[in-house]
Amino acid sequence: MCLAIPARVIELRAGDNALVDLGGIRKEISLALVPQAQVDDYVIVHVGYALGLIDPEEAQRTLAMFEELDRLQPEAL
Amino acid sequence: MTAMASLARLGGSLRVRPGQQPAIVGGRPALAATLLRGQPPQTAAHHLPLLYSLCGQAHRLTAALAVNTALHGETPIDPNTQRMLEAETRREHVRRMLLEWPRLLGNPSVRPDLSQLHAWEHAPQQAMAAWLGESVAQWLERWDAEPFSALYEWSQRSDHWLAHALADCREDAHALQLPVHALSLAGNTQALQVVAAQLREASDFALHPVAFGLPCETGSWTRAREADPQRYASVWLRLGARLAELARLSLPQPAGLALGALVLGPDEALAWSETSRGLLLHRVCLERMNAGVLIRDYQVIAPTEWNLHPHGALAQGLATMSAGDPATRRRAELLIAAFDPCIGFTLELEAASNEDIIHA
Repeated sequence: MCLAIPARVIELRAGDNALVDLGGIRKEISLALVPQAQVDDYVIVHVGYALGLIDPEEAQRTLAMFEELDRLQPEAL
Repeated sequence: MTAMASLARLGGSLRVRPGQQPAIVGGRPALAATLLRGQPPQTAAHHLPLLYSLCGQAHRLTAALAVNTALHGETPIDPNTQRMLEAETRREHVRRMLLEWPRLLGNPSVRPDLSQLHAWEHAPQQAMAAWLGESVAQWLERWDAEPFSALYEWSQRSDHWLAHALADCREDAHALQLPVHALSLAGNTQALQVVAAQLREASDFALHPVAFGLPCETGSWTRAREADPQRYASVWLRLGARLAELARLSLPQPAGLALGALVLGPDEALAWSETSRGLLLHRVCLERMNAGVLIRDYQVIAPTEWNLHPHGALAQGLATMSAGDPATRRRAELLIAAFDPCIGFTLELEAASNEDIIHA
């Protein structure tokens, strides 16, 4: 999707991969583009890849913004 | 609804149906007005990049330009702003080519070395020359003179994986001939005012925009600097145009991507920028209250909305494919690689029977 979602790194795994918390779902993604990411860092995720690091407070603000938008959107597109 | 489902709903989704009518179903919600109405003007340049972070820099710059123009009238463009837009566009082209093109062009076993992104950030001209195996300026000179023969010759001669991928897909991709209906708004004051009026009058115009009454396409091959976009009439040449733009953006002083704004009326402006996927438009309307200036209305038209128009080049190209042809999957993937929609989609090769989630 066009939206790139902040996710928290939970566990570093082999092959530049990591387990992240993505909107409450745990998912394995690639950290190949952000090899410096560590556990508890927030990364921006798109198409299974972390694209960059994001400040934790900014990540929380972004997730809150998504929640508020979702609340305000009508059910059907 | 789970958090992931909510996020997916906000990001939108598409069903891509080659050989069927309609060939594209779905889309995404317009979120800018919901997000920004009643907020202070500077909120736009802060919030929109968080929402659309893939091209966040372009949204930030375009929002700031739209708001400043609405507040203060004609606003000069800082050259550093231009460089930031070019850097983000270059970065997104490289990412798409490294991450998506091997699969979409038909070479899924190719795994490009992603560590080269560091070189692309710090020495783009050298990185591009390493891809091309020659001087960037020489390669571009041949491309500008005759795109097909330049791309053909390079894809046959070079040992780079991208050249191999382009050579391997040439027959299929060049057979996908689609006339170019280029979106040529940047700098065209009259056309921009017409689009702005339609944005103002119809809340859903941003979801299926038209210019001059027709659906138009936007991408690397339709830039404001491009004198003859019609010469990129095949999918292969549209892919080549993206590579050529990456080459151009690797140079120290690239011919600039369009970035500008137009005063539409009191406290109202339209701003535009050229991003990796095409032309991005922001329209803002402010209102002056006792508490200060607030955003009354805000709309964004992203390049993907132009390119996904139900009667546009992408939809027509998909609709003319044969649903039962074994080559249809490859052709559809090549078409999608050229237009590169930034919405997750599902490819439906036969009426709801053989689905494949490609990109989400």
